[in-house]
Amino acid sequence: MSGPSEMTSVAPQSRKVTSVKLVVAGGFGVGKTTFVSAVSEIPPLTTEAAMTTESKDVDDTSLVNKKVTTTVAMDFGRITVDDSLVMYLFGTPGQERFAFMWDDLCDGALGAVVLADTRRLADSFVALDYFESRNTPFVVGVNHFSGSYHYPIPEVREALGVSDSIPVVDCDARNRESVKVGLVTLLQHVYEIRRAALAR
Amino acid sequence: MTEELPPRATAQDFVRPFVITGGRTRAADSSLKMETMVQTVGKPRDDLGFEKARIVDCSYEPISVAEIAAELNVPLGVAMVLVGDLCDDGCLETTYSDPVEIELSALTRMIDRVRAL
Repeated sequence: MSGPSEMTSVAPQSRKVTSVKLVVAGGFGVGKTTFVSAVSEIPPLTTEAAMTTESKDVDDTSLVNKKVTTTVAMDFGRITVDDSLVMYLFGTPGQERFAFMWDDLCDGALGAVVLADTRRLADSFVALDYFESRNTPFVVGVNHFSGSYHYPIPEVREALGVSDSIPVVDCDARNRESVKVGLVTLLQHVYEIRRAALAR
Repeated sequence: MTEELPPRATAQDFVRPFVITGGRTRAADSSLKMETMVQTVGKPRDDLGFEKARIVDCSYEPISVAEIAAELNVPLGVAMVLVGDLCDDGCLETTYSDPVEIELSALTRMIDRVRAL
């Protein structure tokens, strides 16, 4: 966007850095923060988003529309690619009742890793539905906890009901190499989607 | 896990967060996002409030709005309003790229970087 003539007008130390946002989603306690910390170059930071939402149990006798302010904590980490490119990994707030703020979080996201725990697969359905409906590229990382039965990936895929075009990989959030595989799978998936779109 | 953190007593427990922004909850510049990178530009100023001066101080190297919020320990929305003001005042410069515009070569760099971690 900046031609040679514009470059000279920029302060000497100013440099353009592009940032990319990736989202790590999944049910409560599935290992989202662990996933982020496994690859982040900084200890995960926490930011709070103060959200105002309509109270669900509005008092019928009251004519006043009650609103509640909820504070939702989000953890995020950073991977610096080079001087001009930084990746941020944001963990979605785990509980389903915070899904109302996912739009803010996922708007502009390059893609998402949905973590699924084989002991409670249904917990990841909200995230799967969400990214499917938004056409956000995503992959599924099947997080194995010690002592949990190791289901074969095709079985997990069937139970999750995701299409064959969505990569499903084993992903142990506590294992850095495993998390790297999950992340690379997502980036490659995004790459393929982009390449196909460009070829059209 | 985020969900398991014990509640922390912060200034926010005693002061409504948007007091700092004069009650404004939306940034003037609605294109600001949590991952938008900003950087301090221009001459140092001494007429900024406490929080804004801190933002200018921590943004000499490019930094995201989310990191600024974490650094100042204020909610994301508060950081966005303050960063928006500072951009309008010419104290900060933003970079934001639409993910649709990310080139394949950038994706390749990202893949290589993650593999090398």
